[in-house]
Amino acid sequence: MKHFMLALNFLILSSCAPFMDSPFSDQLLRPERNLNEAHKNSMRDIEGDGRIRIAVYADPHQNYKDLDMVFYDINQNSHIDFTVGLGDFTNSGYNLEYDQFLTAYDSLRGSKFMVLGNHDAIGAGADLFRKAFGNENFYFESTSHRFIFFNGNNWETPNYFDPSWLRQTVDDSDKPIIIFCHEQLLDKERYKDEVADIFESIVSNSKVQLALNGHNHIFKMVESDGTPLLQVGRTQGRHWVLLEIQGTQLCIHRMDTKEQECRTLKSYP
Amino acid sequence: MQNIKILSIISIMMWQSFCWGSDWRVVISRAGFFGKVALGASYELTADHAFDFSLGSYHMGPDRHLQTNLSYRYSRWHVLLIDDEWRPLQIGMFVTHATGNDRYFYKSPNQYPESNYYDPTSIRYGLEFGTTYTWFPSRIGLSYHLRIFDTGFIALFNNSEKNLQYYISSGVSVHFLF
Repeated sequence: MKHFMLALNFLILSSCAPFMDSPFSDQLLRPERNLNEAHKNSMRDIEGDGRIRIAVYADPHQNYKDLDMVFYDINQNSHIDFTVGLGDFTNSGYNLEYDQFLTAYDSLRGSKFMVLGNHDAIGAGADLFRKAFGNENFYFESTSHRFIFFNGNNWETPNYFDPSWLRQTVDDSDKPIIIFCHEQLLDKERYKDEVADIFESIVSNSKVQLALNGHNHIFKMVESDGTPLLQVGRTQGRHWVLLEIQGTQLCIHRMDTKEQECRTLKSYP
Repeated sequence: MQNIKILSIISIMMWQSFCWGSDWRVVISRAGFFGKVALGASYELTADHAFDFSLGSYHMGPDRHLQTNLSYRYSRWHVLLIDDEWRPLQIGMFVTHATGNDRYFYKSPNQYPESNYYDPTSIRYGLEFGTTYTWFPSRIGLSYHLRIFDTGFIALFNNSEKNLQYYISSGVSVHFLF
């Protein structure tokens, strides 16, 4: 009887466990596919009130507790036009980490976009990202701006890393541009020679008003050729950033410390 | 070269099991982090202690890759039901290794600035709970295993309110006892 009860308890406790083939495969248990494309297609007119409000978070890795709190905070603010995750929502790009993140991501309301982080891109990660979120390089436009999402993982995904796509997408725009990338475009350790030259010319381009990145886990603002380069810190401590853009006026609200900074962006044309 | 190493390990295991007069089984398993399908051998040093070694396969895009699985299993309870044997609760640990797939690594490859730029991704480990029923005289067994992945413990440590849904996998195996 004791053995029977042991086995019964074990079987009841384990009955919710899925049959996962391998942590190394590109199998996803979650059903979501092409999320970035779906949200791009469902975007409404985000400039109806004359302002663009963007929530940005970065580098949650496996800190789902902090991530849940950040998503809760963002969900409380109904005026946000869209939310961007700047990547590194896993540690090692395993399928089960993707599944876990997608469960949390499901709770975030409104239009939302995800950038591929370097940790998300190793192993089967890049393939899993394509399944869940779609192409890693894409853009969309509002009435006044072009928003570009770029895969900067040159070491992790050399086949999907395409600086010429970014240059072309910047050149083609007749609107001012905001770029989202996991790594900073002027990262001297990562980008060298011709690639570094391309990114320097993009940052100094008169159309590029702002470039955002995560990756280094700390909040930091620098400027290059009049272009602000805003680095968003990791979600730990409920850190996320709210950007408010009205004309050429940008206000950055740091939501963990409640600090605020406003500045004038480059005007184009 | 990798296959020769694996065959050598299997040969040593089989030879040792014959030498020690212990039981060994051939095992086919499904899921449980050991691959879509895995084939291997299990040998029991004593009635309580067993080691499994298997090769599993998984898909990445159109390509099929192999993973090497090794587990240790402790069976505290043995229940005899007429001719059959039931091990109601087994406890163990496992290690799995992505074999011959350069997208997984132990040391970060040359394109990265340091060899420890990333934590090792080719090798993972975890805990295992299982139950096994073996029919006699056919000597065919059926097992169910529940495996918990090591990163699940990290997630659990970081996030006390999160469940382990995606860090747990069920696996089943059929085996023949020689």
